[in-house]
This record gives sequence, structure tokens and C-alpha cells, in this order.
Amino acid sequence: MIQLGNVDKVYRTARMETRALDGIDLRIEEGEFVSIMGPSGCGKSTLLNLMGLLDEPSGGSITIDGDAIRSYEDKSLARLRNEKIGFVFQSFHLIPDLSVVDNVEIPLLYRGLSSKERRNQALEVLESVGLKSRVHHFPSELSGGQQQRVAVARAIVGRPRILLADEPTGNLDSQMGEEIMGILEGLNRDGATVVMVTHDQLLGERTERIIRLFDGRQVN
Amino acid sequence: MLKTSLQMAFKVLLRRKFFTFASLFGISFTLMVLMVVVSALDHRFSPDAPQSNSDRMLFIDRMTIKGPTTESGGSRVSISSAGYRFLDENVRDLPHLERVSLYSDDRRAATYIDGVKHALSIKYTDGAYWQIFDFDFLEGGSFTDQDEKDANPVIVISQKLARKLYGETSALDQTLVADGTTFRVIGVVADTSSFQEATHANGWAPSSTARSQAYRDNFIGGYHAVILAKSSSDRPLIQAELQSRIDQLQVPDEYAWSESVFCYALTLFEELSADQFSDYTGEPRPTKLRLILGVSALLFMLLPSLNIMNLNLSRTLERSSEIGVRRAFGAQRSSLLGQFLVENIVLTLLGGLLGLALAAWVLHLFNTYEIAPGVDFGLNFRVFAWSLALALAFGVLSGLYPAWRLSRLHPVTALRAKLR
Repeated sequence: MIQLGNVDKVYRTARMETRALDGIDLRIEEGEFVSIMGPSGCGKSTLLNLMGLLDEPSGGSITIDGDAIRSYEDKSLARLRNEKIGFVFQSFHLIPDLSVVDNVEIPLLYRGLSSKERRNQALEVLESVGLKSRVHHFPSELSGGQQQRVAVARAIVGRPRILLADEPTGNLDSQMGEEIMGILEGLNRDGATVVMVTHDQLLGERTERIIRLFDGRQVN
Repeated sequence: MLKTSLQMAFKVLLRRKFFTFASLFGISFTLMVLMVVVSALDHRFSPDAPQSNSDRMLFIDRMTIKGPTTESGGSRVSISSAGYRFLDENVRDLPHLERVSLYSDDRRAATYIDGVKHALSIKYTDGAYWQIFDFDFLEGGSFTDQDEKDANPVIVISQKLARKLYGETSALDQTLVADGTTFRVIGVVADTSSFQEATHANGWAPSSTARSQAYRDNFIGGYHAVILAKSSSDRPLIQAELQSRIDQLQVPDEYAWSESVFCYALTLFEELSADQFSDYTGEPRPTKLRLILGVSALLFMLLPSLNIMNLNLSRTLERSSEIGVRRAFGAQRSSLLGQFLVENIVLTLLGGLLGLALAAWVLHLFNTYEIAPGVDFGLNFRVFAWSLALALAFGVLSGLYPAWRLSRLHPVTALRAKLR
């Protein structure tokens, strides 16, 4: 489903060069639930960004759902992200000016769906994460757990085959974190490939496989 | 996508009330001033009565006779309106024209009714004048070429003068003594704008009824011509032919000192450019006028545009998370550029509407207090269209750079930026 071959990521400034990822080789199969773990600054989020085609590697190859990424041209990457990948971020990244349902509709906006279709699909997904009664609220009116559930709804509304979650429970208390983890596990059971960055060993152990990074290198 | 961007724009603007208010205030005030200027320009150039055919008209209003440059660097120059004789001999038979009318400078005169003095500003002209300009006759009608030929002492007066002189009674066939002639009033026309010199007066009489007929021999001074071309595309041909006639002109003996003669048949716009920017020759400078109007509008819009640009840019950090999210979920740079631009254009169009309402109010004040005599400022479709164009230009000007900056943000950088 996701394949990385000898991937490097180097950040260069005028004075120095930082190697964030160094020769990463990995393969994540369809339907797997994988976690990425490691100390802060080891390159976990960088790796997730590369898998999500949000960033371009300095070297190596990336294949997503059978598509080898040859060009990092804006239009084709945008289409791939829109169709195949859903993101959940640690700090939710909901748009404060938009209501819950408008936030969830965002991925569908870039598919050219009619507003009615968008609304119907968004409402359906919000119901599935238990937020039917909050659709016209604004993010600032919701608790952290509710906000993250909105973010999950937004990530899955376009039915992507890959779900990338960057510390999805990092800003939540344990009860809310458990709720979100439950939703991710449910989505994985329904067939989604889930890759989750986490610091939490217990959460990592609940996934099928842990990829451990240290100083930009894969250590297992 | 446009519909969605519009919906999104309204949602954002409604949520950001202070930002919207601050922006609208600046935009609407700027656009109001521009719309008032547009309305004044429109009034001057508008193809409305009595200048409905202004797109086919050419005006000859100025003539310059220049002598050779002396050793001290000076030269003798006569600048005035054109002379009747010059116009009669050189303009009447120009090719491609449908009609020509010669009309005098405004002659100040006075008439007394019941011992009260009333000021008159009379144009002496011919029958063609009334065929070229479509005055709105409220009573009676105009005089003809035959009246001019026969020196019939008839006069057409403005509505305002008619009211002053005769009150509510009909002005038709009333006697009016002015400039040494006893006229019979044969028509009353709606008041004309002081911005349109060719048609602004409060009395019009046949040229032949003027107290002195010396004007007929004048080479320079006292008269103007309006030419109605067969079509607007004929105007350059007429202008070129007039130029070639002037190049070969034999000046009368009293101007034997002259070295060159300058006289141009100009469109309304060229005429304004000549009034504002020409040297002694009266040569039009339409490109300069266009440039100055354009640059002035641009500079005038630039300051508030920079302000809005700055407001927009200061929101970059605030909105970077949104940009990151949209990019992550499939937005292309171009669609983000479009979205932010639409947001700004919606804002400026709203500002434009407010500005239009403010401009209507200001123009109403101008009309009420008669800032310009006889000028009825208004907001018509043309002014509205220009205002819309200005608001759009303003929207693009102030929105493009911030939108471009926002859309260029790297998704990872955008997501990493500190949330508010």
C-alpha cells in the first residue's frame, strides 16, 4: 500500500544541513495498522509527511497504492492526497471560521461534488463519530475530544484507503484518547490502512507493527 | 467551485466582524471618492441629451497664431477662440461631415423686467446647432437657418431663465430685450450643464441678430464650431483634412506677422486633455490625460489597498493552519489562490456597494447645494459599471499579493505554524 525505498530527507539552510531521515526502507501492506515511534526530533512526523505527499523527499522513492511518485507537481499530488489519503493531526487543525459540518466537507470540496452531496456525506460521517447534534457548532464550542472526532470525520469523509494520524491522542486526556483510538481501530477493521505516529507505548502496542526511528534511521 | 468560494467568503467575512468592518470602512470611503469623480467625468463626456451624438462630434474651440521667435527668445502669440471667417471658409465644406454649426462665445447681456436686472449669457448660432444637439424643448421650438439668414430676432431660453422672467406664465411669444435687440421667445429648453460648454447658456439667438456683424470678418476670436461626422470612425479623417487645410492656410494681411497657425477639431476627451495639459498650441494630449487619470486612480487606490494587503498578510499566520489543512485534503495552489482572491473581491464588492450608496448621498448634496450650476450629478448605468470595474480592480489589487503569498505556503510549514 505504501512503499518507501531508501528515502532521505535533508533540510538545508545557508549554514547547516540537517538529515531528518536517512535511508528509510519500508513497506506497509493494505489493511495494516502501523505505529511509528521514537524520541522527539527523530523524524516521525517527517516520515508521515512524506507518506502523505505533503513533502518531497531529498532522495529515494515513494509508492502509494501502486502509484510510484515520479513528479512532485502540485496538481497530481493534490489529486492523490484528495483521493487516497486522510490526515488526523495532533492539534486538530480545524478551521475556526467554519462550522463543524463545513469543516468536514473540506475534502469533498476539491472533488467537485455538489453542495447537497457534500452535506449528505458529511452529516453521515459526523453521525458515525457521534457528533450529529453538533454539526452547526463552531470548533471553539467543542471539547478537545469532540474536535478530534470532527478531525477524524474530516479525514474519512472522502473514504480514503490510507489514514495518517500524527499523534492523534497527544492533546487529549486518556478517556478521550481511548475514544479516538477506538475509532481508528474500527476504521482499520473496516479495511483502512492506518499509520499513526505516537509517543505512547501502550497505544503503539495495540497496533499490528511498530516502526521505531532514532536520529532519522529505522532501528527495527 | 466559484459558488463554494463565494459561500466560504461570506462565512469568513461574517465570522471576522472587526476585520470586515475595518476593511469595508476603508474600501467604501475610497470607492465613494472615486465614484464621485467618475460621475463628474461621466457628466462631462456622457452621450446624454443634448449631446447624445457626442461620439460623432468634434469641437473647434481654440486657435493660436504664432509669430517667429525673436532673438530674445520670445514670440508674438495670439490665442483665442476661432474666428467666424476662418470657420466659415475652412470648416463648412470638410469631407465626411453630416453637419456643421458655428456658435459664438457666451455673450454677457442683461434684460430688465419691472426694473429688475436679469443676467443673460447668450450664444449666437445657426439652425444646424439645433439639429446637432438634441435639446429637450419644454415649450415651442428652435430657430432655423432661414431665421438666421433673415436675421429674425427670435430667441430660445433656458427653463431657469424663463421661470425667472415670466414665472409660471408661458414664455412663448414674450418679448425679451437684450444686447440691444428686441427678441421674441420661440422656445424654452431644459437647463443644461455648465460642464458642457458647447450647450451651456441661458439664451440662444441667430448669429445675424447680434448687435454688431463685425464677427463675420474675424479670422480669430469669438466663434466655435461643432462638427457632426457621418460616423465616429470618420472623425480622424476630418481632423486630418482640417490639419492639411491649416498647413496650406493663407492668413489675412493683418496676420502677416504670423509664422504658424494652430487649430484642432477635438473630441470631448481630447478637448479636456488640451485644456489641462496643452501648451500654447492647444494640441490635445489624450494619452497624457488617460495616463494621469489612470495613475491618479491607481495611486488613490494604492494606499487603502496596501492597508488591506497588510491586514490580509497579518492574517497569514492566523490562517496558515487552514492553508495546511486545505492543501493536505487536496486543494491545489491555484484553487487556494482563487479562494482568497474571491474572498477579497467579495469584500471589495460589498465595499463598492456601500461606496455607491455613499456616493449617491454625496452627489445628492452636490445637487441640492448647486456645487456646479446646472449640473445634475447622478449615478447611471455607466457610472455603476465604472464603479464595479473600480471595485474589482481594487479587489484584485489588494487581494492578489496576499492570496499569492498564502497559496504558496508549503503545507508542512503551514501546518507547523503556531495556531492562534
